[in-house]
Amino acid sequence: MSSRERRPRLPAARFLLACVLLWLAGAGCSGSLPPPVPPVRERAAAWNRHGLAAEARGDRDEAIVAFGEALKLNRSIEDGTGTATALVNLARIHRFKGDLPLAKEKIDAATLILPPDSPLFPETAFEKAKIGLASGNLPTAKEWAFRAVDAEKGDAAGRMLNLLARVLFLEGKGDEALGRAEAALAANRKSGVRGEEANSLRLLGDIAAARRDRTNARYLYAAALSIDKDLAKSRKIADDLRALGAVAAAGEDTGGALAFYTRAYDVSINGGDRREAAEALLEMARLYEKTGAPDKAKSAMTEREKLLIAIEEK
Amino acid sequence: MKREQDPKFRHLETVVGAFLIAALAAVVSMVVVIGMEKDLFAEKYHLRFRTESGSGFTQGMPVKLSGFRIGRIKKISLDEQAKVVVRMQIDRKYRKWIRADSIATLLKEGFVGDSVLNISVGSPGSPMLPDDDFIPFTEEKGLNELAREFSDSVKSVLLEVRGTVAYINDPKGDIKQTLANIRQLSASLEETRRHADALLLTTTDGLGRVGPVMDNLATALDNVGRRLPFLLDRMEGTLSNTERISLEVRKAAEKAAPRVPHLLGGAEELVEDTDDVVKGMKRMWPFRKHIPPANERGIVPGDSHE
Repeated sequence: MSSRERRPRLPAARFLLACVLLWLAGAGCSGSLPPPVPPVRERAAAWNRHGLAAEARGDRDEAIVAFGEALKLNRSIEDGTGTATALVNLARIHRFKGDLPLAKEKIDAATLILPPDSPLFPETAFEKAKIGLASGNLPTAKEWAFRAVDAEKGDAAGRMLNLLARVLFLEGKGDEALGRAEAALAANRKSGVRGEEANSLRLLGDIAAARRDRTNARYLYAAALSIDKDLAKSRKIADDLRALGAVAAAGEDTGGALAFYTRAYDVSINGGDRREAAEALLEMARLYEKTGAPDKAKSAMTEREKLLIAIEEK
Repeated sequence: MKREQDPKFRHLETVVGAFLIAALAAVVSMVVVIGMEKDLFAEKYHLRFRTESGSGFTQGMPVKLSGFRIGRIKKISLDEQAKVVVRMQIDRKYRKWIRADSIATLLKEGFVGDSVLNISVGSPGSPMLPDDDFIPFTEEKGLNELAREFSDSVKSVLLEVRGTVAYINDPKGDIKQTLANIRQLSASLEETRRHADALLLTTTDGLGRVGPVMDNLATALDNVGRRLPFLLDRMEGTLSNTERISLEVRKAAEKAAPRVPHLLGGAEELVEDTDDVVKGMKRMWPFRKHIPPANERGIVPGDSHE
């Protein structure tokens, strides 16, 4: 075999090596970059992020300022989605702060802007339903919860169903609420949204307790408590414990009920939730009274008074 | 012999020669290009300056005039007095700008940039500097030094203020004692007033009873007369102290104030630059996969059970 016939092997190897290097370079560096964002939109997004961060650390006044800035910037460029996002966020924060008229004003403005096929519509409808529920307006809450359920096709579907189920439960439509809550539980388990899974379980527990099915209620509340403890949600842990206390009290297990309410009080007071702590103390006082311990009942009521005064002063 | 007959090797010498010539030409042109880039062929002259410390200087450090690189530091050495002599090599074409009143300054390019040696442009009336002559040198104060200086000047003022406050608050101090005396004095006056009232009411009982009251009043007035100058002296001392402190505070603030906007501007610029760099890095391949996705909808998380 002559040298000329053997020669092609080397260039082929080099070509292969070059191809591999090119492929590696392409895989590493040639990923598609997001298109550049105009500065005003970038600033509006930055304010929005700032608001989200402020809310996450509990600084609601700062969050309102930040979302207000985002709203102004989005309005200055007629960005409908950005404007609606800022309005929904403002509505939610005002609701958290208990300022329902302002929350309603913001959410109504958002619903006027958004078309029903907007990806933001389910969240807007959800917030509108939540504000309706917080205001005691169950028909509005139900109407918008239905809209939210119809519009949401993603991972938040379980949350929307939970809300609808709660509204139906409050309206006294137990069977319908049960169906929706079970659907919510299945959806939340499927999408892996554990916080909402616990909400579904708690709601199912409420429905079972209302039907005097205490065994099932206890099981469901305990399951919700387990998830909430995993997620370290202090307020919800206290809710679950109070619900378990109520089930125990309904079953004449006064000692068990006192133990649950005492745990709920401990969780709430250490979690900084004085109103819920006061609620637990009220139940504890009733139970002490029932067990013939008026001194302890009086002491619990005195402590409760102190907490309520502190809340008022704040 | 067979190889020589191969037509492939017929022009071998020519090809090898041409290749060598091309390689040599490439090397020469590379040397020329690099030399021109590094100003190796430009005509140079040298200037020197003396400084207390050689820290911050490195061999090869750029020498700039009005922001343009005109040379570099050639040599750093110690003289007989243990002072540092820095020798600069400067392109001769810039010589006309460097005069007897030019000053060399060591400064930083931005807050975190490299140090450069800057030479100020001399006035046209001053003579040009001969080769290897000395040029005056000053060092621009760094951020730390500025902060230290500011802190020192404010610290002394704060110490004064603390001393004054402690002096005022001292229960056994003059001010507190003086206030106690005033309180006592006013109580005496009140007592005196009550006596005077009683006196007026009992005037009808006889003018003979006025005597002791008048005595009391005289005592009280004596008290006032005795203590008032002391009190006024103290107050005057305190006021002059306060005046001096406020003057020093004003001086410190005036000294620091012009630097503050510069510092703030620089810091802002630095933050913006850092922001750009971080944004750029976030988009880069090795990092963008490890950055958690932002809240896609940008909405505060909702919960069905709040």
